Amino acid sequence: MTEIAIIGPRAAGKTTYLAALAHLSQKNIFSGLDINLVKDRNNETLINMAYNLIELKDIVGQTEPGDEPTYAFTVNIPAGKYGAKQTQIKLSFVDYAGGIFDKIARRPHEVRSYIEQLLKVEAWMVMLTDFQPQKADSEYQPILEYLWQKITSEEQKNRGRKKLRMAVVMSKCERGELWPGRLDPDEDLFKIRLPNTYKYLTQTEKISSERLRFFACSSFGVRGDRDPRPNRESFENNLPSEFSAILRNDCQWQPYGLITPLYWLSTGKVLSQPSV
Amino acid sequence: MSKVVLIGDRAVGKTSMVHALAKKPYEKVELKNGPDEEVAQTESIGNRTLQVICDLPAKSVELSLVWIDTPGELYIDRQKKEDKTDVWQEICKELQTSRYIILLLPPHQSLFNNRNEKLTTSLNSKNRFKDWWIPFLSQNCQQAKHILICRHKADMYNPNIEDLGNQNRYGISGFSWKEYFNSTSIDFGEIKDQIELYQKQHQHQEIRRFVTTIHNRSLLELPWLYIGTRESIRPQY
Repeated sequence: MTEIAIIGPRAAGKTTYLAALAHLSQKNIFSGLDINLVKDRNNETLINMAYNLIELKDIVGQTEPGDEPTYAFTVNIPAGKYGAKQTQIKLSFVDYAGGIFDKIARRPHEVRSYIEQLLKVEAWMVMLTDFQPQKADSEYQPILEYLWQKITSEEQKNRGRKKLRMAVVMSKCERGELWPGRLDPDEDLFKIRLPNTYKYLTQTEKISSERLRFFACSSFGVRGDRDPRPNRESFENNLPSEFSAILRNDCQWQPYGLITPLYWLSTGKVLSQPSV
Repeated sequence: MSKVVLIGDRAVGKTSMVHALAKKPYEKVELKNGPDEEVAQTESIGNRTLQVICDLPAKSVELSLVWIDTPGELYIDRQKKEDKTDVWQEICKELQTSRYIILLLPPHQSLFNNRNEKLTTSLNSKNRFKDWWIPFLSQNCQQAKHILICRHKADMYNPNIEDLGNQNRYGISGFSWKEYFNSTSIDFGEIKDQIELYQKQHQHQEIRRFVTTIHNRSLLELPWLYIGTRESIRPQY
């Protein structure tokens, strides 16, 4: 089982992403793809969350520090489909509150126990957004620098430890300004919109592509092949929908890139179809 | 166990709300151990555990909620507050450890152009909210995750309460929290901006508006169903 820590700033869409995975397990959007949730109380919670989000049009709500749930899935991909070499991956996720990520570089002593937990897992999925790109970039780069230095030090101390893989994911890529860049997230999203963060990871640290990869994903997707408008709406009319979004139309639901980062984190291989 | 504290001015209906919830017939919310005493003015803090069953669409959820009922005159009468300092301190202590705060607000004259003179004016309602409740919530309720503001006794101003209840019956096809909360904004016109400002300033809390009355079961149950929904998506350990 690959243990994945999902981290990222507040409102990055981490929990909504997991609810979308739970919802995907009930739908047949990607032919042959089979997602199963392990039957436990937490996964029931996730199913409830997905139900509230989709059927009752209620927002997911913030994950609270101290309330980090673990969810377990298996993903079965038909042999040869989507370029998959391995047909089953088993995953467990810990969904970390955004408030923790925000404190990592500035007040690490307040989140020491969380950092220690992060250093123990074998894979990180770092979900980032960039509503204010310059501000976001200046915040993310020191956080990732702190974490990378910590994990490097940990790996040096513990040589037997499996080397961490880090998937850096631009979430909410259904946004108009991001959607065209989803096919080449390195060049068209991260290098342009989060240049300092991108430069730090790829040039300063020169993290190899075996350990670092960039992805784009969208839990809500767009309305159709010929209609690239986001398939989401705001929960409250006076709030921007990026912060309090619900799915607009379940019948048109086509999420993007939910599985590809997970497949890479688990196997080190990339699916040929980034939309999966 | 999650705590729910009911707050609101004297005679707004805090205690009778729970008493009404305990009465049959239920729709989606059953109170297994509701209070059965006569409703009298609450003199001190009532503190008991309610076993609430919420029949949610995904599954039924049983909640144990600590219900804290509070004496309304302490929110109005400064002298009473000073006379009952220990009770007031106990209220503040409970608020600081409560996950859910239900604030009941009375109706006012301008709602639905109903010039019922028994009701306070819209201006008084607005000032009361701004000058008392907003500072109160800011000072005493910061630990709460959810603040449910209920325009209570809606039957006193809305002649179509039956229709409203039918349209907002939880679990019927087409019910959505988004649509419901958008529809309740009209009942909070005089304080809508203040609520939005408070929400912007306190993004760690979810502020939701409800329209309630003990004379319509569907509407009465909705705040409790919302609590049930929120509890159902909390991690289980």
